[in-house]
Amino acid sequence: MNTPLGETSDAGLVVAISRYNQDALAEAYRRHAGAVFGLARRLLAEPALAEEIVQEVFLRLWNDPDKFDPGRGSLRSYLLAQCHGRSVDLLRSESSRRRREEKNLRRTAEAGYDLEREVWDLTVADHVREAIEALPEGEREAIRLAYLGGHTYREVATLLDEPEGTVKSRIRSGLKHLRGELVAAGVSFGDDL
Amino acid sequence: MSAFHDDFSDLLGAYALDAVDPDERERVEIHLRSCPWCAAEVSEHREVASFLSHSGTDAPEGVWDRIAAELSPPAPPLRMTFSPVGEVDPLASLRDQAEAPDAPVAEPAAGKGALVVPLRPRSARLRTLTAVLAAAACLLAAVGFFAYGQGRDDRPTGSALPTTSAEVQVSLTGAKDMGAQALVDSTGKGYLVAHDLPDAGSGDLYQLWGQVDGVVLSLGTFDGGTDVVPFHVDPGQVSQVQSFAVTKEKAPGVVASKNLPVMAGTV
Repeated sequence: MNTPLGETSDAGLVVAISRYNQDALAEAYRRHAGAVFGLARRLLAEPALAEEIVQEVFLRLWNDPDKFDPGRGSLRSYLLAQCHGRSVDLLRSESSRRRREEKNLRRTAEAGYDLEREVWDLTVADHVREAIEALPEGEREAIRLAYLGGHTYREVATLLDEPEGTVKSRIRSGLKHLRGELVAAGVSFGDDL
Repeated sequence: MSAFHDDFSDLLGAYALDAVDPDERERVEIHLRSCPWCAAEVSEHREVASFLSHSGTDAPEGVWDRIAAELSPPAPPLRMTFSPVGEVDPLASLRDQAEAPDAPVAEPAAGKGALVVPLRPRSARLRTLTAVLAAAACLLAAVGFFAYGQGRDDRPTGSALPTTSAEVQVSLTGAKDMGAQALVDSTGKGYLVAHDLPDAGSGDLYQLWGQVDGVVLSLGTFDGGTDVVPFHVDPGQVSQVQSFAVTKEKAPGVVASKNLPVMAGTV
């Protein structure tokens, strides 16, 4: 039963983490910290803040390993969801609101910025890119502004000048369409190492 | 599915992307606790979203060092605390578990029963295992299984056996003549010596749990046919070891078990 940590599944790592195995946490960090940092930096734009989020996410995994349920998805999606939630909380705090608005103005002016550019480091990147491109424009924009812009659907509705109910529905249907496209392309969900 | 359920469905995508207002988030989270369909949909949305955020960034330098510094000095060996407050019905914990997983759970204290209430539980699943372990111990004691093994030749086999006298020695017993001895020496070094444990089955394994000072902690996993399973207990807690249990789990094991033990024993 002594599988090297490098060959242990993500679920197995979390079991080891629950036994206070620091090497298991280090292995989870090696596997997923880059993705967590990438998302935090994308949302917060400030590397120092993003590093704090990474630290917080992995310490939370250490302190509350049983919050991760392998039956509900991969460890990576769990860590990214934790990272996204915390980053958005920071982003929406009063102190950063003004900075964010200025940043959004700059982003709007950036040429070539789009959702597709955010996806490029996986072997499934091509499938993901194609799935995003296949989305109706309204769904793609709603997901981009909500997930990567950190906006609420109400804010997205204002930004796109669309009814709130429409945006809410587009986010949900867009995510379902993405999943359908990815499944059709052979991308599997819930997998870990 | 009800109209009440439908009221939330349209919010699930936005909720999964953290794109709802705080009051909506709270309402959705209350709903998710009782709606497995919506909870599953949120998980699916988050899985999809995770594909959108990979940006190929390397792990930031220096952050791991800061995390590791937060982990030391050595982390506490235990994760939950309990407080005894009264008498117990030996079967109450099983009934409570079936009816209300979050209700206070019963646990046998050394020599007499005591109702215990989790003061700062880490999760419902850990509480469940505590209840399961305690209930199993109560039930096994009630039907006289604890006498099993007392007269057996329990000499451990294998190479990694304790060389010092055991501070704690516990007989674990269960159905189908399953049995084992758990031994812990004064340094906290422990061994589970199993007797003819059958194969756990394809994709399954056995997981050893210990209860120390009211806290349940996973001590390791092993296959059927294993004679000696080494584990470790904090040396400062050896005298507070209360019980051991073995559950059967899907590989690679679980953080907290929802299964009844296949065998258990108390000090």
